[in-house]
Amino acid sequence: MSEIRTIDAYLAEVRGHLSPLGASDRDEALVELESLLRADADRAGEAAAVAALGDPATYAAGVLEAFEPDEVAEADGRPVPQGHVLGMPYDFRGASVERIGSRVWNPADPRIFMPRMFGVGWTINLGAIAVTLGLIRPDDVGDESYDRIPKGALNVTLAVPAALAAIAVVLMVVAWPTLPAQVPIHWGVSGKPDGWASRTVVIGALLALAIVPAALTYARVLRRDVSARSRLLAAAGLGMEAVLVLGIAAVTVADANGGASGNWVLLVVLATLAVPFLMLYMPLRSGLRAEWREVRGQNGRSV
Amino acid sequence: MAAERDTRVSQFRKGALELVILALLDRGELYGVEIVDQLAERPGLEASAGTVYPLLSRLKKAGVVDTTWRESPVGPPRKYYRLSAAGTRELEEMSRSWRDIAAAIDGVLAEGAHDE
Repeated sequence: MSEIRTIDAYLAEVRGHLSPLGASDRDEALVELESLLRADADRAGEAAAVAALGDPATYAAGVLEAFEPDEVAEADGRPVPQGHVLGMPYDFRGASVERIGSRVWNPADPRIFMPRMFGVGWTINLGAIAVTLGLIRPDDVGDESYDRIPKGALNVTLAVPAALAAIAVVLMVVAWPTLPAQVPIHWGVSGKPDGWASRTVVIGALLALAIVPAALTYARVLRRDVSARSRLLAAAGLGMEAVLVLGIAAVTVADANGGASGNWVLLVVLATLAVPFLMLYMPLRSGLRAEWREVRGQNGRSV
Repeated sequence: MAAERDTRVSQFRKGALELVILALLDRGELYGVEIVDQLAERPGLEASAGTVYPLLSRLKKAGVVDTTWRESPVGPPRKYYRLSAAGTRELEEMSRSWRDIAAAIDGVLAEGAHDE
């Protein structure tokens, strides 16, 4: 590697090594580094300032270590948002199975409102809700529980998002001729629409949202080497998305036909919680029951 | 001032909690609620279930503790935690480090006392 002599080259090099960091942390670290370098360059010259900091890879490693608590926390199952805006956590890194595992289904963590998986705001921790409702104890579900889920129960659960997406697609195709050129896309608190868009754009977007994430997720999780845990968590995340798409499609169609009201919107919101909740809780309960049946046969079984 | 002191104490305690839990499990296996209760009996070491359970889950993933389901007289079977072989070694190393650093800090604090 050739000698780095300018501040910009050094910053670019460090930025490259900081890719594991979230964008906001990375930018913060780089802004700090740049002001440090510029102050030093004023005194000693640019090349000397850059040389004083040493190898950019080593410097970046130090920065990564300083930010490590978050990474460690995430690995421990304690969710860490990418950053905060106006006091609300945000995250635009996309939903990975680990993020679903640490936020949407994390019975060990009693917080019901978790930093959101994608976007701004909070995600509901369905695992904490199951614990609060007294359905499970915080440590009942372990990694083994996923492997004990009966094949049939797992397969049915995996099929739920596909079924929801298929219903949404059929509904939109069938209802297409009944839709006006402009359909509502936003509803006020009273349930009255207060925003409209072209039906081609709205239905096109909803069809894409029904099909594309499902196709991508199934292609990823139906491979042979994917664990039951990854499959279930990914399916639950997809189920939440599919029920939302179906709900929006249903409200749009019903509204065009004069049937939608504020209650519909509330129903959709509840369904986006209830569907993934059942998709996680029902199969995991079967998995736990399978573990417990074995204990009742013996005097205790290592798991 | 009191609030500031509480934050300091909780910072110390956070790092020590893992060691304390390993030490409790070294005396025999316990289930989750028992661990929380035993901590609550020790002033200064109380920790909420929301702190203890995620820590237990991390210790399990790290292979430091093993778990066993055992029948409970009430309700469904309980998940008991015990030290694994790696956990016993971890406990030895952690207690040694803890004693070393505690002795070193005591030494520094004592020096400070002489200077004044």
